Amino acid sequence: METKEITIYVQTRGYKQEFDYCWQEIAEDGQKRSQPPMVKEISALIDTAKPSVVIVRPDEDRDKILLLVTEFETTRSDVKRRPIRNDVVLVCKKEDEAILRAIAVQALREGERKILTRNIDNAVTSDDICGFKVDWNKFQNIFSEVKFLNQALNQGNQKDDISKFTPDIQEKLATELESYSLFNLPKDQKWVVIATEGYKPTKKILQEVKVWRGYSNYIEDSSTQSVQTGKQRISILNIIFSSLNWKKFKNPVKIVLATLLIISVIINIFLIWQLNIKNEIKNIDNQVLPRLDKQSKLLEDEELHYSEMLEEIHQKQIINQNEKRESLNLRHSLNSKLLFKVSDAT
Amino acid sequence: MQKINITMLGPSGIGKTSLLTAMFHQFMEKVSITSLQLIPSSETSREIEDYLAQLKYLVSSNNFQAEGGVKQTKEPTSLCYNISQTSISPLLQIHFQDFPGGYIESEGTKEEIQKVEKFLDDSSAVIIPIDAAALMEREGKWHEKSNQPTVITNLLKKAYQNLNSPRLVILAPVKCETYMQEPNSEQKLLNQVKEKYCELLDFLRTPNSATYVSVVVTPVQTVGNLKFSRIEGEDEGEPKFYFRQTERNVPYAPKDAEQPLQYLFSFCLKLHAEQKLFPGINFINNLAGIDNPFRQAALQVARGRKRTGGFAVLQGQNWLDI
Repeated sequence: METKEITIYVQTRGYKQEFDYCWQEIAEDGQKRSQPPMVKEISALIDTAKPSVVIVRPDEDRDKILLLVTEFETTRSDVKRRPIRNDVVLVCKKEDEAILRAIAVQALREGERKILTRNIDNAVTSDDICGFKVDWNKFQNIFSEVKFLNQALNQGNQKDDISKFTPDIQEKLATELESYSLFNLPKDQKWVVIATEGYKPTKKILQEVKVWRGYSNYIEDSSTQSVQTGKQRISILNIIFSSLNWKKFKNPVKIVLATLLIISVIINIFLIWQLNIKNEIKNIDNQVLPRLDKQSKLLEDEELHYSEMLEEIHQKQIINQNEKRESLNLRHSLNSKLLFKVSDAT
Repeated sequence: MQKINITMLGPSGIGKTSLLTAMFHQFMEKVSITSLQLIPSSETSREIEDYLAQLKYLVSSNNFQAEGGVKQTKEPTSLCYNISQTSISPLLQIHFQDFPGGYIESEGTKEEIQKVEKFLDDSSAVIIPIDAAALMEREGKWHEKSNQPTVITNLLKKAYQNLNSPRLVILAPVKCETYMQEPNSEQKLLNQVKEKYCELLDFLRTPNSATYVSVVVTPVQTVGNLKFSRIEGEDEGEPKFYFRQTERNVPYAPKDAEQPLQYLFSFCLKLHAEQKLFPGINFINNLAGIDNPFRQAALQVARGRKRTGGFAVLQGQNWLDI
């Protein structure tokens, strides 16, 4: 069997209480407790208790690629009857990069992941001396059995992509990893893939670390999160115009169809606008007319009331005039009587 | 903003994460503090929800016995809560440090032990979950192996040797449903805690520690509706404690899980009031009337604290009451 130049690290635990989760480096001549490169940094970014696939170029050696896959289920459990999981880190140079990609693809595709999970579970057993033992040969078999992938088929899409980790994205990433050599990405592209079912990292952090493919469950809406330049603000207009992609419209029929589409959209917007105006007028009518009716009725009532008052005043004036006239007459007759009596006396 | 760290201290598989989950779940459900709000960070909220879903699933599917508690912690985790008045920026931030129990096991590395020591140095409070079945069954025969009181005592002795600020130590027996049904058994549980942690308690009663350290015992029924059933694997030296549900299909129903947080909350408010965290800020707070909601909250929380039936303040009552 041909031995691959891949450094293997496994994190798992043993049966006994004292053998908690720890990383061990696995070699042909034995295994020892050792933390893989970059794991602290990765653990600060993702929730390692959730299934994740991470590919990174280690700071120590940018000519290498490191793959971390977490949360492989096992058939083992600990003394507290909790299920044990296996995490695996593989580090290799360019020559074996296709194997790493193939393992990442297997880890991403549900059906294939089951096979990989079973093979890793078969290679790791609980142990009373050092917690767990890893069968080197069985691990080498895993490498030999992975699907053969070509090295460096093409340049690939080098634009960053950050979005919610959905099954569709998972498959898209697996397809990409099948086709593109990771060494075709620029050497300063430290974070290559962060794909996690966990609720961290956030989109902002994925952008900050400038990952090539960043997918997490924390990101809410996959349809609006695709990032082209890293800092581009996504608006509805951006989405419409980018989806039209004018360069593709070389066919006149397509141009006519696109024009008709735009015109119909404009007409629809105009009609909706008109409809809205009509509705607004109707609303105003409904609100204002009853109020006007009420006010005019009030005015009519007041007018009637005032006319009644005027009539009353008029009647009183007539009565007053009559009374005045009567008093004048009375006064006149009294004066006449007085004059008459004076003349009699004289 | 004031920041208070709390360390969850216990060996692997003791139920640190399950206790944290039950504590927050019940505190949010049962404790109503009108003047202040306890708000988890979005990450903490998701993590607690996730743990809670795991616990509820295990109980509802009758798998708690078969599959233990929540998924094991592989990396140190920090859960962050803000205490604030409505629509005002947070006044106090509480960080719970949960770490893999293996860090303090015999197989833990020097670096891992140092991390725990650093947590303890930086923490104003420590919560020590205790496996109640290991403490109580077979006269505590498996207590040392399961709960590791000697390791915990040594860690605290080192961290508290030259104390000059107040600390709270919460001894929290967990999964103690079986021992909280009768007044006699509650008292027996409390006595057993005092007896089996006598070395730690004696150290904390020394003059310097006694000045600064408050010690409380708060038994928690982490899952509810469980009863101790049997121990297997004793001959191999690896005991497995089995529990059974009191009835089939009973829901996840923790009891008294909010109590450690009630004591912790009182302690934090006392620290705030005593201006131990940020000397000088109290004057400004008093001028702005900021302390009033804290006092109201402290009184409300104090009213909800249990003091009998297995619960006890062993020392340092003065650090819990305003």
